[in-house]
Amino acid sequence: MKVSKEARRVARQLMKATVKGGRVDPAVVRQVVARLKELKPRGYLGVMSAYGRLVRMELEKSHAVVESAVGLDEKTRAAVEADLQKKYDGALTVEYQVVPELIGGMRVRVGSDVWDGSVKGRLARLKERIG
Amino acid sequence: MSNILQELESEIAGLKTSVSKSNVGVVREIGDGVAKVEGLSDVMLNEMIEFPGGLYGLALNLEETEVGCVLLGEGREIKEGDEVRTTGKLLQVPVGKSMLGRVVNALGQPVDGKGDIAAEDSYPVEKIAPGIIPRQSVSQPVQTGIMAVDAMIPIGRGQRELIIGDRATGKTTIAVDTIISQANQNRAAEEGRLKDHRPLYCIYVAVGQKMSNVARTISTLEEAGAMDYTVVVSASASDTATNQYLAPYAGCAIGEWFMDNGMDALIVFDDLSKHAVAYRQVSLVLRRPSGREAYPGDVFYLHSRLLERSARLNEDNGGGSMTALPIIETQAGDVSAYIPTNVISITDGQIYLETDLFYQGIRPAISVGLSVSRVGSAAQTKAIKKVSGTTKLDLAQFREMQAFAQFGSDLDDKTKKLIERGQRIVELFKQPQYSPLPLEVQVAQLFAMQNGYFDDVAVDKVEDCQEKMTEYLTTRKDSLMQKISDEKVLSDEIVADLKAALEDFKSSYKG
Repeated sequence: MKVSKEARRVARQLMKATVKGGRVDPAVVRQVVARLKELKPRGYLGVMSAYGRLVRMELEKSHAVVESAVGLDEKTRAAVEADLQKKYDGALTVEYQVVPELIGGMRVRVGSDVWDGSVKGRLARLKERIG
Repeated sequence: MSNILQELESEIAGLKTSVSKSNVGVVREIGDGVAKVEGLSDVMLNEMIEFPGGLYGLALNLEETEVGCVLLGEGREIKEGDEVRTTGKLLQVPVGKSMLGRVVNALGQPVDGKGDIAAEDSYPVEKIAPGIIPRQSVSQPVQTGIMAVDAMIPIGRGQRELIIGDRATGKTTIAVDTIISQANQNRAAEEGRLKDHRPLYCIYVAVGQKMSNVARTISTLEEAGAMDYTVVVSASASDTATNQYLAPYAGCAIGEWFMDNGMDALIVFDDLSKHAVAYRQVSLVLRRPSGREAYPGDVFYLHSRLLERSARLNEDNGGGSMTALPIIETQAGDVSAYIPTNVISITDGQIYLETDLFYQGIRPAISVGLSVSRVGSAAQTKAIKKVSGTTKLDLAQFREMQAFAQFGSDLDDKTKKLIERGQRIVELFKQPQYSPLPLEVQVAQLFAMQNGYFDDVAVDKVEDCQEKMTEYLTTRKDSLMQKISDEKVLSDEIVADLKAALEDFKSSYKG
């Protein structure tokens, strides 16, 4: 969907109002969506789509995806979560995924940062170094 | 054997505990050699981005939610949703003396099938030009071997001299002749025939040209033995617009290595019109706002930052230099178009080639009136300066008078003399392609012209006389020629010897 410059500008303004104390306020998001649906301003679909994207990107910043080759036990999960909360000043939502292609180890993604300690990643780095 | 095993084991041990942090993004859109990537929050401008399959891209547009990357390859297998990562590196090319004799692409990878290049170093493609302090003014000549250029539009080391003209007017030939001349001089210096010569290494950058043309140029350079001192950077018409846009910068980085290491380099950009077109394509697919002739707003900066990298460094900085010969192709002789005016204003002079002159058989078809060298005269060899002082003026006056002479034959003696001299100078400056003349031959011929030794030779015999004179001087007066080449000034003694030699030649010459 083609989003106009104006729609992007409006979405940016709405996003500013949505983020409070560095976090997305779900109540404000719901309110913004409801008002947009109700008032249907010019190019509202574009605004909603751009706003949706900005909200998704902001939420990704406080969402961690932990990938591992096998399912993690409770103890490991607690340790990983504690480490992540410490690194990112708390309030991270954590999602666990099992990705057998990793062979072993773990890969954590928060926003666009990736911490790769998987065997697959290490092998790739070894290949890179040896050439 | 055990060493390599130990090395491997230590590498593995190092990796065992390591967790790497990287910055990633997701491809949202791909097409026309451009990928829009979401994420990549830590990306730098012009940073290399790694795509799946070992393909690299260059981050050119950093926007609020997206990064616009141009792909440095085909990228047919990239699809939406693919993960990409930053590398923390700016685009670099291999540089060094081992590049000489090789043909490389815009990324510095060899394309001549002669195997890998063991480069001494690597340089970033984009680099800020040397500032004011490390520079010094141009004072050493680049002997192009083209008499018309060396006599009237001298080029100095560190200068930027534009070669401009319509299609098929001999622009590339001038550049190739210059490269061949440098190779001849470098070889002569190595063999001890040329005193106090600083070797000049050449880089030929082919942008958006037909592969056949590039192959022909390379074979010409090989035949003349010039490839030993030359690097060819090729981004032909079949390469992506990104590679065509990067090739001149890559060539420039290769030249800068020579300059930074106290050596002299000459770089030919063939041609910057096609470079601007490639950049326009990249900018349009990146959806940057377009301006005049649909070129982006920074097309001036595109060429100014490239050509500003040519410089002559002072002795504290090694005393190296990089001379640039950019080429611009005009449409129907229009020098006032957008790109030609930009490059004319950036460079330190231009050699303007005219179609009319070319078809009149005056080759190189240099238009004396429109060609100029703003800084080169300071670098001109004293001997050439002495014998070519009034040549440009004589020729300009001749062109003016020639128009009058067409209307009637009642001309005063002075005008007649001027026209006759002019006709002979025009003949003298005609030169076949790929045969640059050494300095001493140029000096002798210009001296002969200045002192009237050609006045009694019929205009259509000037070329023949010139040929025989060269043969006579190089075979029978080689010690005199060597003396001119060594001293590079016309002392009274040399003038007397030269006069005697020319008298002797004229007495035996039957025109």
